[in-house]
Amino acid sequence: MEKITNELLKESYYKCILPNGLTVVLFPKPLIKRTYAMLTVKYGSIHQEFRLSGRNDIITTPAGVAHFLEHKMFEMPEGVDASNLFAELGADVNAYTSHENTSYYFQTVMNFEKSLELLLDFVQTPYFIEESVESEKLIIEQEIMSSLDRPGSVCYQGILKNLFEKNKVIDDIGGTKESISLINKDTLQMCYNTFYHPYNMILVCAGNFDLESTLKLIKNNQNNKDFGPYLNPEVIYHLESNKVKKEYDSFMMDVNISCVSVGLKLDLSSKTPKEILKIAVLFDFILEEQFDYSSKNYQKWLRDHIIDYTFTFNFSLCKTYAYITIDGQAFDSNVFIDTMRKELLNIPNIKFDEERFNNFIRSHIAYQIRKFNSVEAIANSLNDEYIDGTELFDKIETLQNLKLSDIKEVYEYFSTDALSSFVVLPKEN
Amino acid sequence: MDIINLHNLNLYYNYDSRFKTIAVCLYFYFPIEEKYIPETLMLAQMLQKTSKRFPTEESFAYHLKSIYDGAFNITSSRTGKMQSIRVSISFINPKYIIEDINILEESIFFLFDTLLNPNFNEDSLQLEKDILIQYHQNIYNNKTKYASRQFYNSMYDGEIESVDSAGTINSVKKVTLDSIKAAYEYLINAPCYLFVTGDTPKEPIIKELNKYDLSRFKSYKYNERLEFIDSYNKIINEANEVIEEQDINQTILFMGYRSTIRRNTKYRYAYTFLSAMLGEYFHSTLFQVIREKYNLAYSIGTTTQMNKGAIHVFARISKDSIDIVKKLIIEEIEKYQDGIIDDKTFELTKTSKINDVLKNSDSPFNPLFDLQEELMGFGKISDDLIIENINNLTKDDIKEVANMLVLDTIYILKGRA
Repeated sequence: MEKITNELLKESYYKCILPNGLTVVLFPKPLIKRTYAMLTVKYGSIHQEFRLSGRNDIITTPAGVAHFLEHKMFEMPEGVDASNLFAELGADVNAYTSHENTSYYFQTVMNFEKSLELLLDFVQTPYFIEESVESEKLIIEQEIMSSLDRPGSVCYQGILKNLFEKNKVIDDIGGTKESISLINKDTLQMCYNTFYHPYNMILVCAGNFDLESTLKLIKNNQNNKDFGPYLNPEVIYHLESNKVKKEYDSFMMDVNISCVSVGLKLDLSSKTPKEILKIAVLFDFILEEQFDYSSKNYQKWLRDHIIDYTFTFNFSLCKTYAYITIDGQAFDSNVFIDTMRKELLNIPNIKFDEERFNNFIRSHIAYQIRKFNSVEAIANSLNDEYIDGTELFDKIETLQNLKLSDIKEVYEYFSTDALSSFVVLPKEN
Repeated sequence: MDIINLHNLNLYYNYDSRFKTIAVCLYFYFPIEEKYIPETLMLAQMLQKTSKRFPTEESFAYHLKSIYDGAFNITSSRTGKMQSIRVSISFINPKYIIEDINILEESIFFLFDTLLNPNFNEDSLQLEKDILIQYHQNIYNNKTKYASRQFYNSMYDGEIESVDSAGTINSVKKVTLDSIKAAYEYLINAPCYLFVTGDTPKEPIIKELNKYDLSRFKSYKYNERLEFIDSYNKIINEANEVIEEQDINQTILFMGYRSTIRRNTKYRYAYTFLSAMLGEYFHSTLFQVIREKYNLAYSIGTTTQMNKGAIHVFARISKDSIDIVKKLIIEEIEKYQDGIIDDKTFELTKTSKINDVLKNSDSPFNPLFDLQEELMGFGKISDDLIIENINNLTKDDIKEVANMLVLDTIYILKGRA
């Protein structure tokens, strides 16, 4: 196993790739009582169109299959529910699906090794029957319906649909009532066979466990399974330039104040993972300086009633899609949109302060250090950074090496073509 | 945990080598005074944003960033008729910082300087009033929060539980600088103690703390006049049902059950265990029946309201399923009352609850929770004691507390869509 250490933090973790392709990352923390383990498949809501190795035809699947699979994986042969088996061992299990991956995880202070075997076994045991696939649709429909009542979620989906044209990031992770009605057990089995291969998975453990015996257990468990050849799917990502599809759109809901999102689209398809990490840190600095609670702007806008206490910003930057959003409730959505657009477009003209930049670096190094208080945070970081193609300590090293003059590298992204807005309006308007 | 007396103030010192941060907290206790609602919340917000030394939000936040993101927080909670306020700063252990900066000294100074030198002025007061009024006006946008507030107002009408710490629009409008200052005096003169946790010897901490006039604080000691128990029990003749409609896709259902159980009774472990069996885990009865067997909800669960011995059931359902879901919930609770309690659910809940107790011990603040129980007069508590109590529970205990539950209120936010 490769040992990766950060001297300042006095922390190390171990990494290897098993012969079947499974990436294993182990981060022992012997003084902590609990252990957190996460098995991730690089298969999320955006992986809807793909071409299998050696074939020319493109397979198109309905929106929401990855999320549907996540629900159904807990059902094991003979009517056994994996979550009950975890409960018997005293472990909490759960799962989530994002745009890019599906993760299954548990945490426990007892029976770690048995729980780990169970995690590997239930995710690597597909079992789909038509009747239960149909009944699951009723539950997922309820999940989809609940997000349609949240103006923040509707606004988020709306701005993505404005920013992107064909990229599958525009589809809700759970799909729609219509798209999930098209899913059957054959769809689930085909997508499982395509993506749920150890070559496309990572296992992360952080917490109180023995390094040697855990690795041995994982190797034995994987050696006893036959996964067949990896189908090596070529995913069609529909990469897009930074030009937005639509500059503005709106939707009406039973709310009493507008909910607004101003989005900026980026094209990072030519960047390496480390370059994207650096861009993300630079964007974080700019957004904190101009839009964070601690900025002059925020306090002025709050007092001028342009924004309210819900105001926030978010960004998601990866190779296949990238955007930032400025979000919040607005007394006057037009004023909100105008203000944010002007502020974003003016960023290349701002002279940022060196000392403020240094404080930003200090606070983000502190944030990275704090992560090591929690095994969940460690495991999630290891997992996310693997998905992004970087390593756990890369962020702290990027922060230590960053200079204010680097900021010019991101000025090109602030252009009118890349801006869009979406508003959820009160129905009576 | 060491107990050190500093100028009559107790410092509870917990050495813990597992974490990369050190936390210093001042913990105040005082009876909830309706005349200081919403002032208490507003002053906590104001104290977290500016001080005489850092008079703008920007300069205040900027300074915290300069000391490696010192996390300064003021949080409040209620137990019975008492309120507690925790004023804390958590900072990176200096041994992980390369730069020559005295984080320990700076952080502790920041804590006391901010608390003792507030910057109350008309501008910041008006801002807090605007924020709270907006919060009240716009809660309609958040359907879950709206439904929860309406449910609390229906179930706990006239009781302290229904009094939102954010007050009402009218009470917020009436707040003045003088009333904020009065609430501040009420807080700062309330009994308190100090708690420190982290991977650091106690001597440098004590040296820093001794730089401040700790004698100006009143030392906290438990006495029986402090009402950590709200013993009021409502007489329920019939469950009250409230239905509201909005143009939403899903229906939100709350069902509130009450009992006479309180934190100081022998039933406390059985009561929280019953709630867990009903709806806190995937294996819990209501999740298994409503979601897994009948596919009627994506989310269903229970929470406990320890102050009132209540259990709240929450579900998001289709409007067409309201009657069947209500009927199933009532039937499942009646089964518990009849002693029909599934062995497997009982055993799985024991294992899960014990796992939860042990997991919580990995929090830097875990020793503080045990300490609070003791300081509020509920006796010494420890992970071992809680686990022993869970292990000793029988199905008869669960049946007994289930029979103490009475359905009080059903609140439904019905979707028209």
